[in-house]
Amino acid sequence: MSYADTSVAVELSSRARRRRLIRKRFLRRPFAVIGLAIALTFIIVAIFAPWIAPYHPETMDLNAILAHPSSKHLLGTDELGRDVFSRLVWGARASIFAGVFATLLATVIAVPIGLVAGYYRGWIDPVIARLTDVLLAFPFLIIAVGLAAILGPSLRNATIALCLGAIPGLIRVARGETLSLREEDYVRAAVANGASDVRILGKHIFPNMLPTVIVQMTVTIPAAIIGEAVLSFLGLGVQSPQTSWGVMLSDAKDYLTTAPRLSVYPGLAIFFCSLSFNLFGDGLRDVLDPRTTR
Amino acid sequence: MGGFLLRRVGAALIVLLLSSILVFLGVRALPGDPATALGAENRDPAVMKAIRHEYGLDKPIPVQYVKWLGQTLQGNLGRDQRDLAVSQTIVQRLPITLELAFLAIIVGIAIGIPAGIIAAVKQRKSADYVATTGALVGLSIPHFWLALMLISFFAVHLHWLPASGYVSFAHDPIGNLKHLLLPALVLGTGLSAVLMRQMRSSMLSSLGADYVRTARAKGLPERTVILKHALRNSLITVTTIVGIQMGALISGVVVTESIFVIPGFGVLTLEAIQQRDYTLLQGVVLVSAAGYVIVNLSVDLLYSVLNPRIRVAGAQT
Repeated sequence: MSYADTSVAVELSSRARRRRLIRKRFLRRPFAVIGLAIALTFIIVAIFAPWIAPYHPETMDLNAILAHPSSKHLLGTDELGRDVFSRLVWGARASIFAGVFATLLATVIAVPIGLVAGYYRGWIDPVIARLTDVLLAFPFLIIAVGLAAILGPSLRNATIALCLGAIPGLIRVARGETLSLREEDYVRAAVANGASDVRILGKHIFPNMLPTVIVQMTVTIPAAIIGEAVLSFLGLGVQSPQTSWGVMLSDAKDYLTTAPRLSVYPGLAIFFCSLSFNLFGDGLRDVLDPRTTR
Repeated sequence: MGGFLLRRVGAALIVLLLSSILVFLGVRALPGDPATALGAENRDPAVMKAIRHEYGLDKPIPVQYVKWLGQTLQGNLGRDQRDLAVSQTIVQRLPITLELAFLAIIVGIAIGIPAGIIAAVKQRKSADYVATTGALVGLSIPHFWLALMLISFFAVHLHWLPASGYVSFAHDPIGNLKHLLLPALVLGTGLSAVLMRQMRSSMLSSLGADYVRTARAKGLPERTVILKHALRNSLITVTTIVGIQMGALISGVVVTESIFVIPGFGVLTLEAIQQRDYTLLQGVVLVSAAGYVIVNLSVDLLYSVLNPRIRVAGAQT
């Protein structure tokens, strides 16, 4: 088995070299780096919300209803005298939670399905393709409407709906990558060596499709973040008085004429959050695209 | 071609059938027994049993499904809580949404395609950066928020356009377009961003292709090369994008209609869930799934007409 060992060693060192190259190329893209930095900031804010927010998001100050921004309330207060900045900070939790978890869950479900469909082909491939088509025929909002009807509206159920909405795209990406990777020489060599299917899929195909999957994840996260906001806005996600950027917009829409700033802040938060993930994803795609690597 | 056509239609039918099973089972999974709803205050077991028997609710689920499917195929989607035929309600509301979707697609194409062409032709120049940045903003912006901002600016602040509501085209064409302009813009921006990015990348690969080099070598003016040779091939991809974006468009329609208070299909969906009207919900979800499948089938078929290579490749897999 010494032969196999050296091949692994060679592969590892070339992989390490490639990783270093990718990092170098990535750092040369200012927009992608800025995107990553902002996205990480949002994630940190979401995790440490209780320590960052000056007030509890549901605490009402009836002496300061619809107050303008001041040193006491950084971004002012809403119609119930709640601190807008604190609500924004806590709202990041719901958005990041929904965006990241829906995407992670969808990836964990979709990638093995895509691997199986692309690797074995045969009867299983068209079966999975039709099931994916069925899932696609129900836009995430329709799935969310159905889930809210069956299970009741909540952040968890909104996240499930967003996950189901993200699965078809991820299956297609994983399947497409598997189809092309299984024709690669090193996969054929592994087959000829008598490696088991699990080993081929796990050791040879999966690591090599990871970059493409990660890029797909970075475009799915912002879509899911916007999706969570939409669902909460429609009353199908996070329920008031709990906070989320969508809930804040839903509350604020009745004050468009008197206090339009209440609609501006959460909207900008959603915008910058999804923009940051999109910038990061775009940069990553350019860096990992073999056509630009050469 | 015949084989390809048959395979695509067959696949679409399977998807439709599976979707209908999913919708049927989904509605059965909803809390609340229809018999309880029909029996109203009467909780007498004998009466409930009679109601269940009358509506066939005591039969096995597969039998119920076949019966339901048979009725659905005849256009009978049942009656909603107000005792109106669901199919009738959908037929009334759908045209409003179709008009909105049509206008949104026009907005998306009118912005996305020229922007994509310019970005590709002027690659790595300022026009390209402006267009790519614009597309990134269009992708990242939450559209329902954009709707709120447009309302507060154009309707509340400038009083140029109505903030919400709807009048039919037959009744007042100008008023109809005024009411639909902002919603169509909101829905169209997202689509234009996706189209622009797709257009840019497919134009870039077309512009590098051999037949474009040949056209240039023949001495054709650059304008002809771009508009006649490169664009024609890139436009084929646009048809698929519109098909893929159907799902996003349906989701977008629900939100946009609810913000602009347009009494279309999207608002009907929300009404169905808010009123817990499950027969209506079932009909609405089924029609939306069928619409998605039919649009994508048409797109696939159109695509194969426009691009003969697909038929050949399709036959191999």
